[in-house]
Amino acid sequence: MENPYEQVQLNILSRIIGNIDRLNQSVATLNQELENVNRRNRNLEIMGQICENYHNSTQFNLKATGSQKPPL
Amino acid sequence: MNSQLIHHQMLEETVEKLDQEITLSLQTIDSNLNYCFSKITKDIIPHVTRYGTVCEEVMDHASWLGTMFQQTGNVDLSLQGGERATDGRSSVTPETLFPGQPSVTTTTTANDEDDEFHTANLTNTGHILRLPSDSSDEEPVKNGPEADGSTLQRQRRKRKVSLLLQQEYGSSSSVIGVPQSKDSSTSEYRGLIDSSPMKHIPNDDESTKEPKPGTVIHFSTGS
Repeated sequence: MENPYEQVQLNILSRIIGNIDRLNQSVATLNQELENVNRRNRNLEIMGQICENYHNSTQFNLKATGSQKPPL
Repeated sequence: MNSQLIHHQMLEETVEKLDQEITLSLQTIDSNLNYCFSKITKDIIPHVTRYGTVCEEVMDHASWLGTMFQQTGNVDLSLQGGERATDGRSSVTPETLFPGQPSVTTTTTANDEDDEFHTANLTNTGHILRLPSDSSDEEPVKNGPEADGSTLQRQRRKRKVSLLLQQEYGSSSSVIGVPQSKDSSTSEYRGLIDSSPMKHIPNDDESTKEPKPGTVIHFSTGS
């Protein structure tokens, strides 16, 4: 009774605790999803590197043979 | 006495003010946390899931590329002669036609994929783009690991094929060596290629390589 603010503050604190709990859960879910995506993208990353290497080697070969034509 | 009362009142006022400020700060904290939580749950996670599905689709579409490149590097298949009407050669090792390039022997390490791909692609592209002016100087280099007469013949055939290809294409840098094991799969695959800027090859004869289950490409399009 003497400290009405304390009750209000305790109320707010409890809500804060609940919010933090939910936030933690959602962040953990987000982390899990991101980990899944990252795992699936590793192969794609390798593929991209392979394609880039292929492109570089074709460019080099064309330049070496002198058969590279200018861009249209 | 009065001053003490006044002092006491002032203190109480400040306490009240502080209490209110405390409550206000707590409330802002709570509201910020709530906002963060709702933002993450409602916007970010669905975004990420959509991104994941799209990436999966991309991977599905690109998986054939992966198998093709893998076979270029790892498997004992020559990818040259898939689209060319060549003699049914089935060279065991992907050989390079470029002098000075390390001849690609069959290695099965996944890490060497890129390196093998490099040379193997050089094989492919070099095979395609190599001018007929290749002298026999390459043969000792290529035949370093093998030193077989059959490889010489194969290389000569490859050069002839590259000549033919060059005549057909002019210069097509987009031609990719296609891993082909069966004619049907190749023709179907070519139907798929037609949708890309790659040039269509009229010759349907393909050298049948050692059929491996991984090399069979099933496409529903028929050319």
